[in-house]
Amino acid sequence: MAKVRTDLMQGTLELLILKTLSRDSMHGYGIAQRIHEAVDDLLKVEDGSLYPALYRMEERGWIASEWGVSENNRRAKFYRLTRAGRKRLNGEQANWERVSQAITRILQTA
Amino acid sequence: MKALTGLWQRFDGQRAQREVEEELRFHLDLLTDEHCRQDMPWEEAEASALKRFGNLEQIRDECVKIARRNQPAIQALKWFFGIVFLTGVLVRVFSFEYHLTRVGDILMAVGVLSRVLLYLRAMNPSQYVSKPDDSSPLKLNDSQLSLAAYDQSRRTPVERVISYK
Repeated sequence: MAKVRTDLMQGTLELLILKTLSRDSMHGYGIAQRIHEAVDDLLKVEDGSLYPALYRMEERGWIASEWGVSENNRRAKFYRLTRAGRKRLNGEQANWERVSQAITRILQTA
Repeated sequence: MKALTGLWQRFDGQRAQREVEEELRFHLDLLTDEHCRQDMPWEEAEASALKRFGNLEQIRDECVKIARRNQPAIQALKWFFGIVFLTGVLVRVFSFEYHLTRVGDILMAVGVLSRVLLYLRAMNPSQYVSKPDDSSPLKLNDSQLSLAAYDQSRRTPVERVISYK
């Protein structure tokens, strides 16, 4: 199995996180698990990479966090989407679909 | 005053670091448990968890840096300028002397402008973050497999994944 490093478009990881948090609030590990389940083996995302993204998104007001108790009775930081985050998610999702359609069309015709 | 400010920043920075470390530790412990459930010896499970997690020190440093920017002192400033604005409104409403109404206007303007500046700072933190030099541990080299790579000058993420074909 060949291991290939791929650079994703900027903002992709943030979009994945926003989408994951759109259902309910989660801690970092839960977000990573949900993304791993969703992308299966197509993409291997390093779990740690989520955290700088989470902190940056919290700073921008897209998500909010609070300490709570996890399912295994440990203190954990839970993240939830804010109103600004939901707005951002809708915008980013629409943008992603537009760009993706455009690229697909070019790949099919060029 | 300087000593007090330094003490506060130090205390606050340490708290930010403790919280980041606790959060990352929680994640690593759960990852290790997950690997242990797959009948992996504990040492191997921990090594596997660390590998899946990425560059721990780099990620921790980056998170601490962002958390410090978002520290309670900044939140306190937002409250303070909110109060300044409200004071300005009250002075403006309840005073009938020309000079006092001017003071009210100034307080309102200071409150609004400061909040706007803090908002802009949150939206675009790049201008306020010092750029790391070549010796910075955050600087990536090609041998490091990490998604937490950032274009430090623009503060944009360079998201990198490993795909298996």
